[in-house]
Amino acid sequence: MKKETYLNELSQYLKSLPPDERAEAMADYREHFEMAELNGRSEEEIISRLGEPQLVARAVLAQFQIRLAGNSPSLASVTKAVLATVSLGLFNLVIVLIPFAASLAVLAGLFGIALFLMISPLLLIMQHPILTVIISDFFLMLGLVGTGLLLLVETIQLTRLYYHLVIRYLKYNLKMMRRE
Amino acid sequence: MNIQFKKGVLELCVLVLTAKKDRYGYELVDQISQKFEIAEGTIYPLLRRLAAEGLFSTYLFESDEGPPRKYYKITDEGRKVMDELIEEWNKFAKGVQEMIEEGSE
Repeated sequence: MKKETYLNELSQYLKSLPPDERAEAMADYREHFEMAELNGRSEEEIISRLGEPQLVARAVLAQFQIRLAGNSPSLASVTKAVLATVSLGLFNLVIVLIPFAASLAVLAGLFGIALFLMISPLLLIMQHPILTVIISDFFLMLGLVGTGLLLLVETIQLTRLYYHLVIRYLKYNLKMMRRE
Repeated sequence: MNIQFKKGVLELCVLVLTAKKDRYGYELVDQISQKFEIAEGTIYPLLRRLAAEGLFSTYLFESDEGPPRKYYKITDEGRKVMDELIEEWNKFAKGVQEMIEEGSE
């Protein structure tokens, strides 16, 4: 493979980056080629030591998505960062994606329980449409709804903390520059 | 060198190298790949992230020979992180050393 082919391929793989990010990344690799050539390395040697364009592009994209998720954590941005990290290797499927999916399910479960508690009086009324039940169980309902609300607020806070932790873990995971 | 072992070490390496003097990208890549085998292309994303996290500042320098070079300059925050990583590394190395000695007894 020749230098221009390599750079073109890399540029193609980086299409999903914002234009300025992509230009900056490409400038780094152009500079690398020029400096390495100045130091007497052949194009073939430079290319083989850089690593496959696809592998390099995945590293670039993963670092970018994690940075983005760190700046504005949301379900979408964190999921993107997780998927970009998973693309770095099969091993990450086990140590990143599966724990992420499992913990996400737990959070969804907590939201589900909170929601259920909050609508529980409605369910009770539907089952026993008698006024006495509503009156006698008034405090029970109040308690259930209160617990539901509390759980909802706690889960929202937990989700924020969770995003933060996921991003930290991804950064830690990315410190490993794997050669595959 | 074992692949897993490089985890975290590259970050320490680039911080230590820039603590001595400002370095440009190729210089860092070359210094590290002289010591152990890496996919050189993956150092640049690391440098960009560390710069985005404020551990480095960067500037372009026009040189007499070759293209303008992007230099990485370590920040105070970068030095703080470097000191922490060195301490972590020393603890780790000491632990391994002790186990080797105990194992060979």
